[in-house]
Amino acid sequence: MTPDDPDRLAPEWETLLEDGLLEPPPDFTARVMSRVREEAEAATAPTSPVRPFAAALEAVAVAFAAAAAGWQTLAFAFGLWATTIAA
Amino acid sequence: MNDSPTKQDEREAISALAGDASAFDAVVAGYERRVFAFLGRMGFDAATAEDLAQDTFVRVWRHRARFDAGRGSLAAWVFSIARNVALTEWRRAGRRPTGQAVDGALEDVASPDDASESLERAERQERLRRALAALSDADRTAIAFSYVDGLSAPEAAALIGCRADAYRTRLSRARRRLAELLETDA
Repeated sequence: MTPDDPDRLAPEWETLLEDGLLEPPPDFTARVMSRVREEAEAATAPTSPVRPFAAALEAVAVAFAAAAAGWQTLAFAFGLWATTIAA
Repeated sequence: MNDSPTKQDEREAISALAGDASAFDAVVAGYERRVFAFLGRMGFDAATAEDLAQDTFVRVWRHRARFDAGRGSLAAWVFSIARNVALTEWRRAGRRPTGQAVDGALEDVASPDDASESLERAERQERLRRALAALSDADRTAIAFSYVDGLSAPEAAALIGCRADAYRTRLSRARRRLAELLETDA
């Protein structure tokens, strides 16, 4: 905008527009940086740690439980069969 | 503006953008005055402008990997984000003028003359804010961009999504409309 621009507003309005009407508060940078650090920390926060030993123990326990359940089912079926034959 | 950005400022801000969170304050410090001034010209009051300016910088941080210095200046990229934040707020708020410039205008004044001057300035700011708020989004944005230091007319035109000559026409029309609104609100 040049001083002889035909679209130039009255000087008091030009001054206000050039100044921008608002200024940041003194601690604005600190407030933004606080939010940015929160974001940065959230982005780099460790996810739940991998625990291979615990995972292996869980798998073994499930396998044993499944085998025991299968054995019980077979024993029950054999019991029914044996009872039927004896009768 | 007293603190016109230089090419050196722009280079420093770009290298700060590529750094970690602790370096980002250089970007905020380099742009905060211009972003606040832009939001003021977009018709927002101080409290709303602060929230929007914070959102703008957090988005700049969050999406910093998308900035490509080969495609445009950092100023153009920052103000494209500020504009999106501002227009979203305008639409969310349903085009309500948000000025409370006169509130608090008499704080920190030393004498009655200072008080009178402060009040007068606050009233002028309020009139200007009302007039800006009465403009269309496109006209208000064109005016707001035209006063941003470090943003060229072709960059402003690109941000608005038109050619440079169309931007000049729009800006001229917007300034005439603003002058009319200021006169009728006298």
